[in-house]
Amino acid sequence: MFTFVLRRALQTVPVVLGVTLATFLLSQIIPGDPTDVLLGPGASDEARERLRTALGLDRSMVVQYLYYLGNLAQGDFGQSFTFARPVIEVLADRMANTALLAFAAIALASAAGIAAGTWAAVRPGSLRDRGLTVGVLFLNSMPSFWLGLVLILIFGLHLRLLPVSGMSSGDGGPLNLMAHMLLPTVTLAAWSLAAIARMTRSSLLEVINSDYVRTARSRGVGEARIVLFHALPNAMPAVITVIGMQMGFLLSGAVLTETVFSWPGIGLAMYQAISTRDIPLIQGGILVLALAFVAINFAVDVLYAYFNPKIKLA
Amino acid sequence: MNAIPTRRSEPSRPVLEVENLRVSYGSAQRPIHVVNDVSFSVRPGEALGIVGESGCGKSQTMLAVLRLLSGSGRITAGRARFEGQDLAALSARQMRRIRGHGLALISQDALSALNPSMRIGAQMAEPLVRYDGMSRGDARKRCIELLEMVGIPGAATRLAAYPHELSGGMRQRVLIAMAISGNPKLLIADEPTTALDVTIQAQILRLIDRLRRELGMALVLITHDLGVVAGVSDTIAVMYAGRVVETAETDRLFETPRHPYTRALLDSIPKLDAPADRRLQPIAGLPPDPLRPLSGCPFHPRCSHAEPRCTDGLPALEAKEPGSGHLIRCVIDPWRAAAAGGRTSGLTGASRP
Amino acid sequence: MSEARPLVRGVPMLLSGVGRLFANGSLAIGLTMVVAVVLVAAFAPLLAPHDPFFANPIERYLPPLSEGYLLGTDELGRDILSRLIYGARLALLVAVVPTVIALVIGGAIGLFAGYLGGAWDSVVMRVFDVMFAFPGILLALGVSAALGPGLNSMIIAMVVVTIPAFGRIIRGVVLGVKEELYVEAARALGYGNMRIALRHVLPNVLAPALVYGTLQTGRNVILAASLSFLGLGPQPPTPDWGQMLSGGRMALATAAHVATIPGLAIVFLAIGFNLLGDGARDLLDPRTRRDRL
Repeated sequence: MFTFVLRRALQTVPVVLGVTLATFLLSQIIPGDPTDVLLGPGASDEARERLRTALGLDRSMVVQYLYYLGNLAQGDFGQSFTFARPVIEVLADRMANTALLAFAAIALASAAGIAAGTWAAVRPGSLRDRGLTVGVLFLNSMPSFWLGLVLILIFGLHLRLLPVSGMSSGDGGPLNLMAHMLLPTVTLAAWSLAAIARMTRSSLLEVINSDYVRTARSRGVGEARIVLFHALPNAMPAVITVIGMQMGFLLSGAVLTETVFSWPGIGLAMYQAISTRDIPLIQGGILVLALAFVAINFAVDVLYAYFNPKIKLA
Repeated sequence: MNAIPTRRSEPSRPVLEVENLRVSYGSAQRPIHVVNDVSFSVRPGEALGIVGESGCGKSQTMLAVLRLLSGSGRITAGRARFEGQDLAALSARQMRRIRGHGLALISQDALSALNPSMRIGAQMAEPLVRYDGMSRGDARKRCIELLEMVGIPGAATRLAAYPHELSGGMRQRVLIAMAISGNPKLLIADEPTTALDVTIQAQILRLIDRLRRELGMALVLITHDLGVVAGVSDTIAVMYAGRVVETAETDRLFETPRHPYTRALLDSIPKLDAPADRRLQPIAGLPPDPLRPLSGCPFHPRCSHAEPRCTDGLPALEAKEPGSGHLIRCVIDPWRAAAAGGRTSGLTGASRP
Repeated sequence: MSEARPLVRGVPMLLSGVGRLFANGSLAIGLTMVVAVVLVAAFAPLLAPHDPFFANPIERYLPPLSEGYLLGTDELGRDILSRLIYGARLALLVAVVPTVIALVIGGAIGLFAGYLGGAWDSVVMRVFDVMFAFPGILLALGVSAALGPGLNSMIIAMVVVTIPAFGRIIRGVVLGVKEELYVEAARALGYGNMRIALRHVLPNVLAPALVYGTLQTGRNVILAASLSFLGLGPQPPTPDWGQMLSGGRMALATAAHVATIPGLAIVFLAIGFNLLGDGARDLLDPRTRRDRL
């Protein structure tokens, strides 16, 4: 198990480098004078010149990339002119908010998705199974921000049950935070819930027709135990893989959801940076979210090995 | 130890009686019958071999008895009785009690028949602890005892192993141990040796046979290989295209096989005493598609003795000699004379002109 | 092509007949929905009751079923129905065009990476791995933002992020087909690499390409709407569904229809492509049938 974790960790190194290279390349494809974008349109010629030298824009791309890597290593992600602060500070302030939302959403999507998929799979072809099929199709075909707006309309504006913006109001407190989290969490979770439910269902259907389930049935084991203790654990590896992939969608979906609900996370900052073309902030946000995704995938693979005894030996 | 008291049934009363069983898949409007009009009975301690090519309905018959058919599969006619109780009429709960304690199943491929993510001990002990009210310690002792019974060395250490860590023969033994853990009255072994090496096959067969005698279980052995049932079963039923085409006591069937399909099956297995120049005869052609049932005898397209009247209607399964217990589903009955002539001819001789 | 697949026999085959019917059902419904949008887009000038660009400040935020405005008006007093009808053109364009370009580029990369193997293959796969490390629409957001908002940069961004998926799928198929006997035979007969790739591998790749392409088109409807919602798509006053939705956000409390109606249009088109893709997959690729929901 230890060697497996170590080997898997080493595999992430080239991916991490690749991710930094890709975010670096983003600044290379900006049309026109990059200092325009980096300093904003109102900068003086002198400042532009200084920035060019400082960023090494007069050097080759390889050297520039190495500079970029060096800066990243020192925690220098550049300067955000939207917030007039270093990018790293903006991201650090908001990282926890995004993580809170993403983890709440994945927890909801996993719990509800696995439950719904199981619920449908135990009666294949039934009304509830067809219902799930249609539900998954709708959730898959629905832009999350639109769902968010509809939820705001219903629960916020018409029923006036829940707050629709920000993280807290009044005196705050955990209950207040949870009330603020509810709609963004549901919005963010919806798409992933559909994917997880679908994978749980198909994976479970495959497992439930397997010989070892028949063996357990032939020994008089009851249906509830069959599903929970024989079928689900063997269906989990596929489901865990999908959950890991969904974390990626959640982290990027955060940009849309945070925008709709004015949730003060990395995504909202990136949205604000788009209109001002604050590229360093967008670059930094993408980098942080992508690295988080790489880290999560690593964790998922380790979990996967834990659930699958055959891999541990390898 | 056992939640179900072991009632001693009268020796003459069959453990399992199957009467005119029909198993169908698909919609009620357009059902596809995979088992048709199958009848047999197994008395306590007796061994029945069900033989046929894959897809002939032999496994479907026994899965129907266990009520473990998958998908749309269901019993559409006939009856299966376990110790006199109609299995189809039982509640799901009653059926669960019979599975494991009354009827037990040994599947073909032990690797896929064991749960890959559960340790051997956990899978073995599950029904003992959950349904038979054993303590974990007692269940563990019982599992070790069972593993020793099936000849697994170092039984205590195997309990912690995962199925993929054992050899194929070992896994099959574990599966057998699991099947007998509830002291079943009838053991259903579905191709228990097919996935194994030839040397291991013989060991496993001997093991099943020994356990059956020691524990007084009845046995239904499902196989495509007549050679496998030869030394084990008391009676044999040969199935083709969802129907029994010939049934007799094992000795009689081997001495005077009467249905052309049975003959063809026998010609397709290697025999040690056969002359070296004798080639094995695979049966030409394929079994009929259950979607398009044939008129008449389903074997006629592949039968070397077929005559035009074979397509006239389905032959009845009948005893050609009253009271013989040797039932044949064939209107031609090409070897009637040989059988009448004192059953002197050996198998190879009879099948050669 | 069908002979390369194992024949499904017996009971599973019987049961799949039911699945096939359902599959054809979703194919038919999906096709109808997509064709409906295509027709609306094609005949937009005939169907639209108003000029989609004409702003009438006096008649802002008219509710649906107002006189002369079936679906009401938006924040500038423009007719929502007309903008929706013209928006269908852009919606189809941003869904289909990036798919086709990514399919051609990604497919070509996958085809040759898979066929040539070795170092080429490793390099391509490592690059794809890195691109897959970017969650969802993030990379598209970055590319689009760096290039500057607009229709062209949005399409480029969408192409960039969908190339790896196409590349991987096609490569997988190629690797499978490559080992098939007939390719061996063709090589033994002395045909060149190029000829083998085109004559033998390409036909096998078409079915999965078609299926995955249709499904990706459905996802692109959402992706484009998302980028557009974030302000990275076609700029105002172009009638674009994502942007109409985003414009209506401000008046959600007073005129909810401005934001919700374009959303319904997006959902409709996405469902159409998804059903079409699901149906096509079940029809063309029996191996995945059991995975279908």
